[in-house]
Amino acid sequence: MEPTESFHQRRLVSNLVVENFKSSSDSDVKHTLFWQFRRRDTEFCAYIRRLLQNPLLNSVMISIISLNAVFLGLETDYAIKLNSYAYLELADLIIISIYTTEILLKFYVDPLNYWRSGYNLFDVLLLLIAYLPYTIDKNDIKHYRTWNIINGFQALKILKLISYNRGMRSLITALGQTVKTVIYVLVLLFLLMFIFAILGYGLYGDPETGDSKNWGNLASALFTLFCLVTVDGWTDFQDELDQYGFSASRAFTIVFILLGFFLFFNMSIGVVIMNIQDSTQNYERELKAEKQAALQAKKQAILQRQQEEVNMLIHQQIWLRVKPEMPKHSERS
Amino acid sequence: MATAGRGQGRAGSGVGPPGSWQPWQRRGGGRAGAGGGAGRGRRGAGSHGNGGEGAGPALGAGRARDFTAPTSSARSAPAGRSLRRAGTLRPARPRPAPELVAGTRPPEALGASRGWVRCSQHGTCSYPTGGQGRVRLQGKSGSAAARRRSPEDASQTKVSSPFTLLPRADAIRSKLIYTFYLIDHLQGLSHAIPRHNIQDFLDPKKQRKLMFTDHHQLVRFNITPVRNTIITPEKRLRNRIQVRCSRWPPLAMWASWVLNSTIFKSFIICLIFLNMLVLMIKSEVMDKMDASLVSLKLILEVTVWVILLIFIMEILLNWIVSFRGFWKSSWNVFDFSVTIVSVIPEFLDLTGITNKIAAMRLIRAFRILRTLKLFSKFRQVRVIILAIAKTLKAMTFILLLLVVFFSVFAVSGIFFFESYSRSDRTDLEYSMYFRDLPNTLVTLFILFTMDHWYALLQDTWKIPEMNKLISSLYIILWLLIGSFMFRNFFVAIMVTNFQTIRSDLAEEVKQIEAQKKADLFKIQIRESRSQASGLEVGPGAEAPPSAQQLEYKVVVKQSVKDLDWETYIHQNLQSLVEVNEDGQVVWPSDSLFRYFELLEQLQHNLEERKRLQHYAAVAAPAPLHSTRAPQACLPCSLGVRMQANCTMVGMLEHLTFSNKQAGSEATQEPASKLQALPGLC
Repeated sequence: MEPTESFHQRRLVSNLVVENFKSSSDSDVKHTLFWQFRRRDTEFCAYIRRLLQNPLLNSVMISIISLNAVFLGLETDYAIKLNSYAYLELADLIIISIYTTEILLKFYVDPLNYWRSGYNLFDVLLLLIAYLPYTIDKNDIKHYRTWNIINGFQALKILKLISYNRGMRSLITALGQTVKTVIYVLVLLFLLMFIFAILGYGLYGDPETGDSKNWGNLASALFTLFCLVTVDGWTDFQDELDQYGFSASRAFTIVFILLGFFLFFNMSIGVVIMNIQDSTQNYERELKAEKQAALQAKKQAILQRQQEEVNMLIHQQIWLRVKPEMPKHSERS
Repeated sequence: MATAGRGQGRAGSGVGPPGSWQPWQRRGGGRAGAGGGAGRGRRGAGSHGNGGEGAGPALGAGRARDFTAPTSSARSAPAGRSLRRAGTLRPARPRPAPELVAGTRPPEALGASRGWVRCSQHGTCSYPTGGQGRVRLQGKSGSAAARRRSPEDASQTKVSSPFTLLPRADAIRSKLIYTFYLIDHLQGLSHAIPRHNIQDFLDPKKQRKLMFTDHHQLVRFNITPVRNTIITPEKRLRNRIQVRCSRWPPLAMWASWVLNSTIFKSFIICLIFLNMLVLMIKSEVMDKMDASLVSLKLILEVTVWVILLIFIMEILLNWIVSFRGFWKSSWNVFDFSVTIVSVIPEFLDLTGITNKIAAMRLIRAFRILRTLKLFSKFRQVRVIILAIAKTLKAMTFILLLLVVFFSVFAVSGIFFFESYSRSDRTDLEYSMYFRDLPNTLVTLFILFTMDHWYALLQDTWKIPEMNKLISSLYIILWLLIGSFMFRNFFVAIMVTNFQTIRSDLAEEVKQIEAQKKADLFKIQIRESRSQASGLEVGPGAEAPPSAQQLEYKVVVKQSVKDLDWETYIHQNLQSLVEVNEDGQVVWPSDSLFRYFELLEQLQHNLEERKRLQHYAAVAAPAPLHSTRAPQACLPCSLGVRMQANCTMVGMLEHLTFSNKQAGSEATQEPASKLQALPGLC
């Protein structure tokens, strides 16, 4: 046995052992459907599971979704739709069937835990939305508006792209955390807007003497206040109020803009910055921990190798000791 | 019988690298049997059990406990056999003791390797070896060393004493001894007394204890990084092979000198500003058809052309310095592209494609792009642009997500607002906004900046067929997602990245400052020492170039006289300590052993190669006088030796490469390790 070669081979083996450490944690083969029911078709199930984790399948799905997005974009143009609506509809049908197949496969692999993943739920929802246009009759004039709206929702299929890229998924989870905090800020802002809307309606919303267009009912008051928060054309609103003679309304508007825009709007920026810093720190800490874990795994592999070799050595020694005695035994027997 | 078996078992176990210094390895193969040998080869797990310590391998006070003396082991004949088999050029040694001691050097003869003598435990210089009595260091080691050195070149005789030869090899050897704690072994800590028996390993408890009380067969060693802050880019350019081997006077050097001179740099910056000014004046003056302005127009045109030619010349100079290197720096590529793009309209003019006048006017504006060259000239601007580029790289995923959302909302917007786009009413201001895909994308961008969104919404409400709920929900949702969330994300990511970049830069600057201080301190010490001892500071002895030397000399005169010695040292000690951080590197011990072996062999080979080259130079001009045979011998032996050298270097590289792959905590590049170890030139 050539020592150098085995030396290097052992290195490779130790690397392989590290890989096994990592991947064994992912796949735990489930052989039970419900509590006692066991699967009969475990091999097929395992095959399908392997198939679903194939990166080739990933790239195929990504290309199909991008094709779908392109076709959706093409559908918006009237001329193209007029000329080749048949092909577009055919492509749509094929793509929907591919989505259905994928969902069914994933469901077949793991029926119970399928519903735990948010991306799977989103897929099912999208599929239902995709089936909707086929439930109504397109040639009916009454359904034209609903048809428009339903077609509009088809655009959500493009969002499927997110679930196929690991980086995007981690980004979405990170963003999800920040969104939660931003939503609290938005809720606060909505409360503030509500208070000021009631106030504004009371002050300026009178149908005869006041500016009823902008402040006449709660909805329009809320809209006006939202305009003030996003400081888009707020001077026009102020001019209108001036026309109606409410010159003291400047105080109202300015106070609200100070509170809503300068305070809340920028506070949301600050909150998001804090969150993102935290999540970056967490991410880096996770990376470091992963590296340490990999290092530990490698050390374990080295130790295991050493132990194996010592054992081998011991066996060899024992064998060498035993061997000279063996002829005696054979002589005897 | 037993020894033979054990020896073979030893050899066949693949414990260490083949052909290593058998005396060291044989320490386990003797009486202790395979257990001892295995124990040596497999230093068991140290405190790896303390999970999550994460601080590298637990080496601590791990010692090579199971070293037995090489004396008993090397006596066995299989030792010689395995030696031969391993392919080293060293023949089997019947006498291990001088071999052992040959690794040690008499303290007086060592220059650089004096350190290890001091760091031995008892501070003594005598190293008794078990079973062989005291060994006299001087005579025997000398001859043994000579004998050891001469196996490869038996034909050539070393004349002088081996002490003065190859100090580097000695240094490497001593480093090996130090690293592997062989001093303790030499002092008889792990004597000829066998420490472990095979029964120890058969008993699982004892085995576990043995395996877990020693470190992982990983050796921690220190590397002092050699920081050559004295190598300037000019020096580097000068040392290029291209420049050194050129037959003609090196044009590249002159070109690089020109390019890096301050006068030329400021001249170019002035030219860029002048170009900008001239173009501004030209755009004002161009349309006025005044007769008196004709000369002015001529002057302006000529100036523009001259400046363009100078820019092109600068690019050519850069190419002369190094063509490949030009394209590697992105700032140069930016420069090049800007110049080419701005030059295109002139070429089109010259070749006569002046039909498309509208395009011509637009392309003529590209001339002003030359002003962008300013970006590559100022360092602060470069830093800012680099920071922005880094931030953009970090933001790719978010931008991708934004693009996805844009497309989703665009497509759905077209469908939602179809009745609004198709309506025949004439009083709609924003009817074009949702008509087709490009328009919708622009509309979405307008909404992203929250400009006149309420007016748009109110406009869509004018159509009775529009579902008010859907349209307002659409727009408000887009406002929330687009401008509230995404804009905040962008700001947050930029802020975070700028903070990291700034802290990184600050750290870098701090490091450079500390390094400068440490270097300054060292030079001061050197100066003061040379002044005190009255030696002449020769030009060759001082490494730093004259400019820096002058600088430092001035400071030396000031500072050394003011403070007293202790405070002076104390002040600078901290910076020295924090600068000279030894890189802690960890390798498996057999690799490291082999590495040191190879390094020492390399020294010998290099020395031999030098001699052979010398012989070749001597032998070459006299073909007529000498006979054919020796001349024929020399080239082939030259070739063989050169080949041996190449294989040596190749083995080294292979070893370091394999360690790079499988090293447990390779924190530095093996190439830097190669350079940092004092043994390599």
